[in-house]
Amino acid sequence: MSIPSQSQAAERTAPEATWARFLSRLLVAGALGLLAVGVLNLVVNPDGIYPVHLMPQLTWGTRPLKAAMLKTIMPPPQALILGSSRVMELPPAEVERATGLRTFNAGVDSAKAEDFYVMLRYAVETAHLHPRLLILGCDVEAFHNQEPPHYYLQQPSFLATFMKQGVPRDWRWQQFTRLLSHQQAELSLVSLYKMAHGDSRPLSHTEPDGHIYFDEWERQRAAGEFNLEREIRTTLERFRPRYDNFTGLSQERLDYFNATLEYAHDHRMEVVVFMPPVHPEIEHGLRAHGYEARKQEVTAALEHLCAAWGVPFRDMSSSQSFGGDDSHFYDGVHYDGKLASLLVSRLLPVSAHAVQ
Amino acid sequence: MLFNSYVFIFGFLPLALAGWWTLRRTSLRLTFITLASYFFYGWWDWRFVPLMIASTSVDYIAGGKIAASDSPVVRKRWLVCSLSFNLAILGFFKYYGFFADSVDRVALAMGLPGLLPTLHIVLPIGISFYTFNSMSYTIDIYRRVVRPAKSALHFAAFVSLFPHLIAGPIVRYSDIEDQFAALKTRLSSSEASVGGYFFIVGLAKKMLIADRLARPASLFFDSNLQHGLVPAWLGVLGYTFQIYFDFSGYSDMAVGLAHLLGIQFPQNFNSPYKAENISDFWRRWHMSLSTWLRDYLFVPLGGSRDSMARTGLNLGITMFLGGLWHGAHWTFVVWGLYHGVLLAGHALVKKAGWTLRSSLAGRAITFAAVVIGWVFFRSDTLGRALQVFSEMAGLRGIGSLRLVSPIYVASLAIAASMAFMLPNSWEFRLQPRPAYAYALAAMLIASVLLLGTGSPFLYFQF
Repeated sequence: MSIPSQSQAAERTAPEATWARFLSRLLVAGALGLLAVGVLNLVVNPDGIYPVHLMPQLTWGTRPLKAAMLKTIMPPPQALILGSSRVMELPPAEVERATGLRTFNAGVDSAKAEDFYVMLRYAVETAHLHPRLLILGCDVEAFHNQEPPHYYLQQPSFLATFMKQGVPRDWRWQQFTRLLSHQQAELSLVSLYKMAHGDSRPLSHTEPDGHIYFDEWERQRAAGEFNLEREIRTTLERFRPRYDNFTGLSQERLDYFNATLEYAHDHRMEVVVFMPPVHPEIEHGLRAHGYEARKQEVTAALEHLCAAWGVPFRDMSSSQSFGGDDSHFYDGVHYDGKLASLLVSRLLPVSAHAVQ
Repeated sequence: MLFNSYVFIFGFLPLALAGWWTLRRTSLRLTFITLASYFFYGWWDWRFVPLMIASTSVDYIAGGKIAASDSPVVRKRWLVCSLSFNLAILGFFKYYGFFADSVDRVALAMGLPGLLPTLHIVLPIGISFYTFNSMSYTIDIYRRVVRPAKSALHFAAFVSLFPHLIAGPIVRYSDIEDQFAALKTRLSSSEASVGGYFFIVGLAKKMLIADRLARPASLFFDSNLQHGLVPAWLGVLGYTFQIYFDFSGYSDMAVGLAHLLGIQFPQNFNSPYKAENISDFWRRWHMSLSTWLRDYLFVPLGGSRDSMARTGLNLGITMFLGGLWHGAHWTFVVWGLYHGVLLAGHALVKKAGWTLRSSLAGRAITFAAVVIGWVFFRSDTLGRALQVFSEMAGLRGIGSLRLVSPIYVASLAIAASMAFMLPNSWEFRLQPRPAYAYALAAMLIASVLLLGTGSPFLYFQF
């Protein structure tokens, strides 16, 4: 029988009292360290998910923001734009010009298919809106099979009630584990750094119609400081890990997408689905990470589901496909107002006939 | 449930330790730890708990019958019964798909329709480990080297004990028997410190090293794109160190957890990448499996008692089955045979009296041979393994360095230095100094913060 030499050495070389002090130090230091991280994350609250709000939220809190705006917007919109941050630049005014319908941009950051469904049901059932047109911008990642739903949908909230499984029973446990995560700790430190350096310049602002303006990128452009290559590199660093574990399409998310189309159909809404543009360097940089395969799968799934509900689908993932120009990208996935306006003008003739 | 999860560290473990050390009577303590271990196992998929209980019951009954009889015929009959049952469940859950697929491929090549139906069978986690634990019990009773378990509870606790249940070390009943007979009622501070040390070091190996190497290594092996020489070597070396830190990290955690229960497990890793020859490597890598294969397979086959040719054959068979134990895939079979050939070659060289004067050269050659073996082990198909070899040989160009992350190269360098130069977790002499306590606390904090990004241990799939 092999007995750990550590144990023998421990028993031989030092009295138990010394080991007791050692153990106390280890446990107390470990517990205090974790407590300190937890308290830091709770107080700074960079995602705004805890009840303490002493500091400005670092990350986008677009879900509660858009939900609140939807509930109060007057006059009520007749068309909704749904999707991720990549559709938040689409100008509602352009949509209104093309269709005659008052429009609200209800895009939220990092949207997945469940976000379309939840936002739509919230708009109809809680905000009591009656949209006649839905414009759905579907990213490839909207059907990611590994990433969990956004944390805001996993804790009690106005939106989470529309999730098919409701709020997870262990949401408090999830919040606790997030307190002890390096992601939260990093965000908290960034938040503190920004506060210490007086860097409170907002990266973007949202108009009352839900349309976002990327102020910081525009400022850099105006000052001649903007560097597209650098921004694309940063985006690739962020996206590569996402695609590494994106091994196929989530059936649950496909079901959510199907349910969104069904809900729109049942409420007599016209729907237009499109895939937002991506810079070719992003596609190239993600090729080794499975981007092409996932994109093909998503395109095939969208074509199939849209055809089943009689909904037009347009693949606009290349800016050239609608006469655009790649110099209008900010970071390879977000783009400026010119490209957004062009996209709307080329997308909506498809639906214009149906809506009029 | 994973050792590297919040629920294990902040939920299950404190409750299991509190229950174990609060209860006084041995029978209550063993009942508690058995039920806790079933809960631990059922957290993954409760449907497979009855399978483990069935395996435990069959081996407990067979062990008792073997011990109670003096008739060689009866004893052998019960041994065959136990081995057949264990090999049958292992064969069905682990190898049926592989067997059916291979038969159907042959049939298809001969123009025949598929002969065996394809079943989508979920592999019960840890089945290879607990069946080997359990089989060694009946074999040892048959050989009269161990007494039968004092009660079904003792045996159930031995098989299911959560620290070794999922991925070893493969513990024998003789390792545990005396410890269960005289369970400690108090955990001394020195033992708790040693247990904590092993657990934290193992967790840090997994979270801070193995998982940092995992993604780039997986990216290389899982992609069919041409990468070229440099990315290929970086990918293969990444996996080489990932699997070492992942599995030895798990083993350290298992040893530490057992220690926290007042139980001692055998060592499973002893700096395998410092081995000076391939035989030495197998004395250092996954030691509990190596000794299991040696004692229950290689020696009964005749070991090295007969001719050189026979020894080579015995090594080949043992390593072939050792490879197959890891999984029902031709890549594992080839990996096992490759190591069988290396071991036979080493035995031949040793007999001829050829030895390397430089231990450094021995280490380098052994390491290179092991790295080549990992290509078979990690690749999804033999075709992919050959593609990787051609890239490693430079036949597909040097490759682009644009995608090589400096952080990954630095992680690789740190991992290599630790594996080649530093004492391993068993050699390191823990002392009750404040600096050591704070260093361990820092490792614990850093590892816990990364728990959300953790992946299952590589050996869970076996």
